[in-house]
Amino acid sequence: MGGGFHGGFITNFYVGKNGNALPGEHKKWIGVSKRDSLLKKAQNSKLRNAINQMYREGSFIGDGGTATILKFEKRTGINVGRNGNSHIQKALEMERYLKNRVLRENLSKSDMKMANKVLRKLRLAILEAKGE
Amino acid sequence: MKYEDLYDDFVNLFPEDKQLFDDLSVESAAHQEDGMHIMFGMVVVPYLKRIIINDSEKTRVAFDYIEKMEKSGDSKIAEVVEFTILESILDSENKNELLRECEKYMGEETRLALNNISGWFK
Repeated sequence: MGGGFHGGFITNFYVGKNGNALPGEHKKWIGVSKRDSLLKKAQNSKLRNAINQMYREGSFIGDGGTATILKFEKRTGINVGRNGNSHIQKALEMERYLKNRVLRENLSKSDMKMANKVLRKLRLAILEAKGE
Repeated sequence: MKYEDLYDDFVNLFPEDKQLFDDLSVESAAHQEDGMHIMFGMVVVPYLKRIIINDSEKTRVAFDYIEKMEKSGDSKIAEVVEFTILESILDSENKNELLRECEKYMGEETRLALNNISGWFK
């Protein structure tokens, strides 16, 4: 955590490794990645592929997942990419992969539950990002 | 440069490795109709991680193409560079080794994108 002085108010902010600062008002977004815990439970190789693509172990935003990053971008107005680039296209493609590849597999009960859960999170984030 | 053609264009840079790309696609069930984040995340990035360590000439060719993607002026294309290629490298267990090698061949825009994305990592 860091601290700064701005406009007469003391402002706290979180600073990433290379200097991207997250203002204190958004501190609720700081979290711990769920990637490792999801990978420990997931058995199906395509589900594991999807988790690997969607969750970043090193991310400090929420659970490190694409859905959370998309919601973060929408709700804070802060886009993680350059020039306003957002995670919406990636989220749409991951939704397609989960639906077309993962959920068509013969999944165990726990894999099915996980796949549906991450898909639902992704869909809700996409709808919110699109303003629907 | 067209979004839909990114994967084919990249693979065509390395015709001698076409079988390897095909194997990686089958292994991961990556289909072009699912999109370029899928193809790059599940096929190109694993390929990149191999050549970054083993083949400097191929790494140069790959990062020349990645620089063109970042400079394309098409945000959908640049997002593949930022959220799939660079995020994956930054999230790798051997990221220091990968970065040390590939930074030699990164163009200016790719380097700026890397600096930006790495700011969102612990």
